[in-house]
Amino acid sequence: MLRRARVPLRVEVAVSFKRRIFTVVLFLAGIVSIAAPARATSLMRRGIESLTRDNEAIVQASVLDIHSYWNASHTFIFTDVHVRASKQMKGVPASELTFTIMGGTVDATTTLIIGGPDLAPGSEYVLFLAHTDLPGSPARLTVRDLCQGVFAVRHGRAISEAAGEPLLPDASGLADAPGGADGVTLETLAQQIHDAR
Amino acid sequence: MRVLAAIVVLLAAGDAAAFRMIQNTSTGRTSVGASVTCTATGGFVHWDRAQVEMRLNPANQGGKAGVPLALQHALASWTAVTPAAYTLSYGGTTSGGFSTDGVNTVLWSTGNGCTGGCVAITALVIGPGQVLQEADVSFNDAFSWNTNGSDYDVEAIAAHEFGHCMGIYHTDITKPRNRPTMYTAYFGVDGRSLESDDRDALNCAFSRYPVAAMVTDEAPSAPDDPEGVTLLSRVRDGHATLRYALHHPGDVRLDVFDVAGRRITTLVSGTRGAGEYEVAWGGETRTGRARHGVYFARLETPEGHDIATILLGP
Repeated sequence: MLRRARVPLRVEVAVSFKRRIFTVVLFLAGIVSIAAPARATSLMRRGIESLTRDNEAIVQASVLDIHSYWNASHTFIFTDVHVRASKQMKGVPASELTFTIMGGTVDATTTLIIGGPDLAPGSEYVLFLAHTDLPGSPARLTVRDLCQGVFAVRHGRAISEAAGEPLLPDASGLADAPGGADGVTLETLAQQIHDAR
Repeated sequence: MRVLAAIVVLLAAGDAAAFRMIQNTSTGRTSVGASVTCTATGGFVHWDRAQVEMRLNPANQGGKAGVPLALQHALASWTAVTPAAYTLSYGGTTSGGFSTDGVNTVLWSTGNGCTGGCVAITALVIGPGQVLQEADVSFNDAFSWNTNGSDYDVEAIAAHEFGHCMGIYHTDITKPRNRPTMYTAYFGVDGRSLESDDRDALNCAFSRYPVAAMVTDEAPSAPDDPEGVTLLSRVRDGHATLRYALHHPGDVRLDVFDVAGRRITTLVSGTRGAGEYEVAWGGETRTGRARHGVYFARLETPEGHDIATILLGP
């Protein structure tokens, strides 16, 4: 009984160990070959305090749809991002709003902004928005701080899209995006924003 | 053991190719691209020609005296990469902006979506097959820009952004010394000089998307600033001819610099009358003959200054 029991047990352990190693290999292969979003250009680090101070509206919102188009003078491709806010943290009384970001694809032409916000319909983010001049289009509501103005919401945490890549140090010498790669809980981020207002 | 060997191989492969390229993935989401390896399925953005000309909009801090030369140095750093045969040249000034107008423009602005903590931003216009059609760079004019080695250094940031213009994303290298120009953050004037990882990135683009070799016999282009002074360069049979015109008599100085910014010879120094001039240069310098490669001629007159690129060949 003991022998019989032990033999299949050893086999099971061996298979399980091999599977685990195989999983590790696949994971490492994924790290090496995955196409990670290109999320930064030459950016100086922005803390929550400065992000809150310099932006008019901060919302936790889900992207409903996006629409890309040439501007009126056909000199730049913009993308309108339509979102539904689940939580207003600063400004923005409306539950739905649309803001504009640079870049997008129209027909066979793409304008790609290195360091721009990476937003996908159906996903949820905390967005820092302000009016600023875009090419050929003044005073547009946009993500003025590019990837630093977007925090992806995952499992109750907010993770800066600038995380994982060093930024130019700010006045306090910090170079990592707020929260780092692990991000912060939504409650913590909301409190930091509230304190900074 | 085989499993462990596979892990080692995978890790080694990741370390050997630290540079990353930009892939256009803008389908169903906003357009920021993706960071991919040289051999990535789906490829990456690239030029389908060897010559890439950048022009300067001299508005705002783009009008500072040393900016054109700093940009030319940054362009020359990428041109010097071999076996890649790209020629990144300076095409003079333009009134163009951060817009899709067929002109690769470098400009200084407080708009263009580059405000606040944004130091500089690059926009790539991409056509079918991920072929680059245009690349524009906007520096944030709210920062203080310099060409004397103090922050923020035009040449270092330009070299970095020009790397993006060639389809190169940020390197994965994070070491504190000998950082590649495509390191993710600004680290001072050391960013002016390319490291092997930067060169590997451009050679990756060249090997995956080969283009015709550079043209060494350039035809002069039309002056883009009829009110100022224009220096034209023509190279034939290993000899350069530099042409300029003066509307009024005045002091003229014409120097030749190498890619490191060292003056290697002075071709003209003195007063000249109004008229058109041609100056020949066969590569002679104060210390002998210049090697084949990229040089810059700088013309200074009371009517303005201009810089021409010389591709000195055999």
